[in-house]
Amino acid sequence: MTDRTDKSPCAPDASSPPHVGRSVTRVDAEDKVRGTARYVDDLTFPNMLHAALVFPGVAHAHLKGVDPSPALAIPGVHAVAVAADIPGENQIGCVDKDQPLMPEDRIRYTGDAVAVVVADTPTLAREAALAVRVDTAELPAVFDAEEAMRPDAPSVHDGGNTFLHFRVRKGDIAKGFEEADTVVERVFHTYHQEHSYLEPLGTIAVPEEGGSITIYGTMQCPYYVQKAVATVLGLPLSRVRVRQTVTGGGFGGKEDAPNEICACAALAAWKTGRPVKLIHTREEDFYRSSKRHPMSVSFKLGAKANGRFTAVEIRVVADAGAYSTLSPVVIFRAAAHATGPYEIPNVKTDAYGVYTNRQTTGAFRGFGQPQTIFANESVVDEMAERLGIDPVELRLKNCLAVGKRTATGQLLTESVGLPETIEKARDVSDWEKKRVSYAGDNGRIRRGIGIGSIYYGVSLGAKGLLLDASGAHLNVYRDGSVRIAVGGTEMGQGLLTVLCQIAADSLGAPIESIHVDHVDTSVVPDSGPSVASRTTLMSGNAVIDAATKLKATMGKVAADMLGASPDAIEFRGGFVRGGGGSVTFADVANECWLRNVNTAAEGWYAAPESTFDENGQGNAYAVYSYATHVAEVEVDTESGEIRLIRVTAAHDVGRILNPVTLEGQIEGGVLQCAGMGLYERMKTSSGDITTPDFSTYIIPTAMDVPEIESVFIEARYSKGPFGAKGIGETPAMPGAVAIANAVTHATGIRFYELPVTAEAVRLALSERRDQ
Amino acid sequence: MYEPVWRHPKSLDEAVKAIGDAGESGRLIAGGTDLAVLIRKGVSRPDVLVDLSGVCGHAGVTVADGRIALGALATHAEIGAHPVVRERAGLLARACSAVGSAQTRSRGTVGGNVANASPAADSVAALAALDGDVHVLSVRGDRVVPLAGFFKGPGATVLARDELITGISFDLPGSDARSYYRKVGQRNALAIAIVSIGATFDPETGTVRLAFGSVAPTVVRARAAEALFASEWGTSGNRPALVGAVARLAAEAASPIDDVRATAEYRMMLVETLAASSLKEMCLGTCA
Ligand SMILES: Cc1cc2nc3c(=O)[nH]c(=O)nc-3n(C[C@H](O)[C@H](O)[C@H](O)COP(=O)(O)OP(=O)(O)OC[C@H]3O[C@@H](n4cnc5c(N)ncnc54)[C@H](O)[C@@H]3O)c2cc1C
Repeated sequence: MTDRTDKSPCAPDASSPPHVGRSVTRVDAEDKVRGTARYVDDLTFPNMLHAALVFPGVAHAHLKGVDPSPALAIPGVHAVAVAADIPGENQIGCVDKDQPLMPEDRIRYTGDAVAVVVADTPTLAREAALAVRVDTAELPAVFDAEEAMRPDAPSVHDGGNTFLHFRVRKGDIAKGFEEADTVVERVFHTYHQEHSYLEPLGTIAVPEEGGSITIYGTMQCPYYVQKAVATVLGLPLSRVRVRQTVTGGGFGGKEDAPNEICACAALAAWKTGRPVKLIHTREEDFYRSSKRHPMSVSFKLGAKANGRFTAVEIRVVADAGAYSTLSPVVIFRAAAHATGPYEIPNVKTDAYGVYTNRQTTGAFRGFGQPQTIFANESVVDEMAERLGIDPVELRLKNCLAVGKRTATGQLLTESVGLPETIEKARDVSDWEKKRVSYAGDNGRIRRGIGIGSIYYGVSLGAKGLLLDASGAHLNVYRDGSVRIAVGGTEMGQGLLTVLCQIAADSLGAPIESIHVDHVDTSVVPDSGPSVASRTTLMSGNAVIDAATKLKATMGKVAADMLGASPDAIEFRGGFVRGGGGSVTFADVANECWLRNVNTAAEGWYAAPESTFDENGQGNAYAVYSYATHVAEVEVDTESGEIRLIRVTAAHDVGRILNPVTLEGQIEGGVLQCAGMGLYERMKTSSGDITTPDFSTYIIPTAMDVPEIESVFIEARYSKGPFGAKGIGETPAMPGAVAIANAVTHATGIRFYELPVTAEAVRLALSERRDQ
Repeated sequence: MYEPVWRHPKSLDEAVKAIGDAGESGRLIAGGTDLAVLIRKGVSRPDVLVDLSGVCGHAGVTVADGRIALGALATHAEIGAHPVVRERAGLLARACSAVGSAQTRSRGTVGGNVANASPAADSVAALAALDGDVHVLSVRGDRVVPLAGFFKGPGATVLARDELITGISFDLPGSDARSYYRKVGQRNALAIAIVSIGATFDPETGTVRLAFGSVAPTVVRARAAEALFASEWGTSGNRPALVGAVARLAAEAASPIDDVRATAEYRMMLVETLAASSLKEMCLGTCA
């Protein structure tokens, strides 16, 4: 942690907004520190029962029958809900309709559940779940995406396993490679990564009078859950109310996965007529929640001797698991960004999504990009080595900037802080000196320094337009206090705090008077998902829209009170000024109440249009965020052990809204990069997970945290709230490859799969010794 | 539903009686850091749990008569912080300090670590290199089992159902004795050993002891390598070469397997490398 105020290139002054840009304390800090924050498992309802799921535990099989009678015979067991109990449609696929809530005739992976057992206690429900008799006949299964693409592979769904293909075509790669003086071509592999949020998936479904149902739960996307529950129960959306509870982390793992668990609990509640709680154990969460897509990425890059990139050819194969879930959106993003943040005249990218009998894969912080970033940023480094150009120089030579075009042909017109992130990361990390001095290490411990740069299209882009709008509801009470509801979720990232700052400054109200609620779908219209670094941007703009409307109505009353013209009224810092006089914000609110003037308003913000044609050309996303990480490592050449010692993380965020929450986002992301780069790999054997808990699935702990230096760059975005753009995902993206590049710098060995483990390093070192 | 019967003996006599009475499905529980995990997983479901935590006179570290005695209930935190252990048996202090996290070290006991019989147990690799003795008690009386003969395989020991460990003891190493402990794990904390090594060197007698964890069904000693060292150290004209030969021979004591943490191939490399490092550091005074 370093001094924050001087890190902002635009330090606050008298003309700056009073709250935006400052380290306002998190509004949820006290509850979380005291332990009074109420997560879903802390809630209870009268007559509540507990549910557990029945997992046959086979990867691919005909489901011949489910016999709940042995479970029902156990005292304290109230019901067993199966597919036949579903009153609506047995379907929860979020993009493609390929996923039943509970399979009726075919099991496609070990996370498929075939029944929900409802009992007096969670322990009893789990024991009874083991008593349910499931009759299956195993089918040949496929556990590798490349194998699944072959015509003779077992089909996970009828009609072949390759269900997605995105292409990007720009220029002429044959010509581009001809122009190249050097070509580097490599294949890279990454594997399943688990989100490892602190709070596992959980929900309570409460049947209400009048045939409605309320769902409480830990989630990122309440409107997805509303839709899934309405579909499964056959109810109109108006009868399904979803209330997000305090959420202990998501990272994409609570984007669509809550649909399944919430719909299961809803079905159980519907069948029993009683509130039903369903909370996953960590192991169940490993089996049932989505993962980061394993990808194999073939990457071929051509460059002139002067370093200019001339052409790139990329083939991405992503293991989607048993159902498509969010793969269509994730793999679109991977395809659109696969070249890395460079202007390259000739591009050919093909990205495939493939079914296998493995865990479903979907959203995970970075959304399909960290895997392709590993490929492109490794190849850029190898190219630098071949050309004898410093990796930083080579990146600066080719990187995107205002006036350049992306792989999809999009002309960048504003808010491109990428070159600055590279320069700042270089300078703050002391790159030039260390690159030379570390290379001189010749003892047992070798140091290395490596870099990775990225760009990230903020929000959903061309493949998510239907969802790309958000609402806000602002209510000013007669005492001047303000209650805000939005459709975007707080999941630990600090949204509620930042929205209070935005609301206070756009309304001119005192920040203490503002309260923001967790999402309730009955209050704010469908605002899409809280993903893709879109929430501050979208909900923030919706709040500003509502505040602008409120100031117009309240401003008229204030003008009347002050004897001033409505045009001259200014709302700022809790006061309303005009015509030389001033009244408090609360005075105006009260006066409105006395005069029967409405002081509630709805805000709305819809994303600008984006496009992506069948050749992958178009303005894929409205705006991009940029980042560069520089990682420094120490490699023990005896054991292969790697210590991540320092990370310099430079981020272009458009505008800093809250330096402390921003730094929190970056530090957490750096750790997730360390996880992907050095430790995390969910291992499986015949579709079964062999690392289903935190003693075998290795994530970094507090003892593995490096020194982290966050550097902020503010390349304002004209359509962002106060100029801000997304920061949610970018911190988790450039670090893994920066670490891999640093290990290469330390050892002289390049790695083509992540994580780079001590074992991989040691084996590679001894292979080299043998040669 | 699983609801075990709990017994809370206050003395060793009550404890051995309680575990004797419990029969086949009784289990001792000390810190619970191994057993509670197994119970939650459903791997172990003892009907009776005999809680040792209230048994007095059974904890702590004592130094007397040229021996160091660890009570079975001594925690990893206590042992790791004990001044005499740190000074004379540094490998044990380091091993105990390398267990899990601060929470695990404050609850987990050395008796539990030994009784649990994991080949990866950190304190065991150190105690094996210290030639420790395990003190065992039952209603039938007490006995002393050398650590070297205590383990039968992963999770299996020579203890009878009704026996408990009262402590572990070993000779107080001389003031000029050297020792070495190192664990290679998957991260800096909460890491189960991929390979661990505990080693001692007595310059007076010119002998070393080398013990490895996680490379065989039990913690193993590299006896042949130790013997080679003992026979040649005093007369060797080329000690660095001897050290290399001893390390190579030491690796033959290992018979590792592939598991979720690492491959056998990597483990074999580590065994030789770590043996060589330990010998260089202890005997030649050089750090690689
Ligand atoms: C998060 C975590 C991390 C861990 N990390 C490590 C690590 O890095 N290295 C390591 O070596 N271990 C580690 N462990 C395992 C465990 O902490 C140690 O093995 C610990 O020493 C066990 O002691 P305990 O008192 O908790 O044993 P318990 O769980 O109480 O008992 C373990 C076994 O020993 C038996 N037992 C206990 N006391 C006696 C006795 N006096 N006589 C006879 N039998 C007895 C019990 O019946 C049981 O079978 C870890 C455990 C956890 C939960």
